[in-house]
Amino acid sequence: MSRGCYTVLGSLPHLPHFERAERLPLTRLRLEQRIGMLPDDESRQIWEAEALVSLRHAVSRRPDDDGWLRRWRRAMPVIRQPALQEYVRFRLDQQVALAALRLRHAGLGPETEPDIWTVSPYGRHIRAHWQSPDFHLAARHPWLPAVREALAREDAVAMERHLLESCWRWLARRAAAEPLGFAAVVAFVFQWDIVNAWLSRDPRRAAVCFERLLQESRHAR
Amino acid sequence: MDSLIVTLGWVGMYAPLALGAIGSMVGCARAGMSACGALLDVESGYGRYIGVAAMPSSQSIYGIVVTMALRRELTVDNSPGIFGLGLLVGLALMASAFAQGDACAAAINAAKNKLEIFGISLAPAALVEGFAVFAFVFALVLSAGIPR
Repeated sequence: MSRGCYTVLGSLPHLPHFERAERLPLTRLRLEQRIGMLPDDESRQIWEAEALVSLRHAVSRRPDDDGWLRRWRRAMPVIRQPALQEYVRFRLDQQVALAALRLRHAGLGPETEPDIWTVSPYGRHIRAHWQSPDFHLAARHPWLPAVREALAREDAVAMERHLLESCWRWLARRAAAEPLGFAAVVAFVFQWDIVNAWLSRDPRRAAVCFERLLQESRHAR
Repeated sequence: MDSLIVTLGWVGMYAPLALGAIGSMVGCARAGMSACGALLDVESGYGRYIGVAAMPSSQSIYGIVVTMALRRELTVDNSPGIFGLGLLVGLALMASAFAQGDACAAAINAAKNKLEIFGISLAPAALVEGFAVFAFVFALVLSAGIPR
């Protein structure tokens, strides 16, 4: 356990649940400064993991982005802290299960995106149980049924809420096991990311972003 | 063999002070680091947090008192008792100082976000102090039974 965690955790404000938050209690710059009080290697691992799984970068990611998959594979050996590794794997599994739900909802099969199934240990399992409503993963990922139902209703807000809630709970549980340790710092950084993503919801910006993604896909063709 | 037993007696005599001091160092450092972090996030009441960070220093004081109570001419007859009593009370003081450091760090984190709970947030640290006091008092009581 890093001794710097005591100082960092002492310097972080209370973070309300993302649905109750009215504003971010800490700016991105301040957050980076506070995390900078950890040893260099630990703060580097946090930002490496953040670049991989943060919700901030999620919009620009595409499932068929080879660079993104390569980055996953390159970053995983660099991220050595157990709490970070576990969260990155949790998000990876979540992204893979979500991609499977979306593909199936669009009437496509697992063969459409063959690379996705190789990055998560659940990939093969999902392919094998493609016709099962929750891919036989609901026990391990209790958020799956609710997200599947929201996707079926095409209720994007409810789907996002369920996904963020599952991440929030996972982080809260991990921080509770190590309240003054590195896991608590990791939980704060990614819960801050969740609050930031939730507060950044803006229909006008979403329309602009959608337009940009549409343009990108046209150029890709 | 006799010299080994007397050596253990010396270890036992100094253990409460040494282990209590080690515990206080670590406990105060943990709570102190948390207090320093809190200073970055609050606008006032700095002394309050630094004061809380000093709480685990009491174990060193208990250690000094127990060491003084165990201080006597060491013989083959009294050294085993002094070793057992001194080592165990030293370990208890050290562990309580570690735990109190964490409890103080948690209290600082909680109280800086909600000042009105400052007093009650110190209750876990005070409970830990209570267990250290048990170990201390009964070490003094039992030390009276060790032959001089």
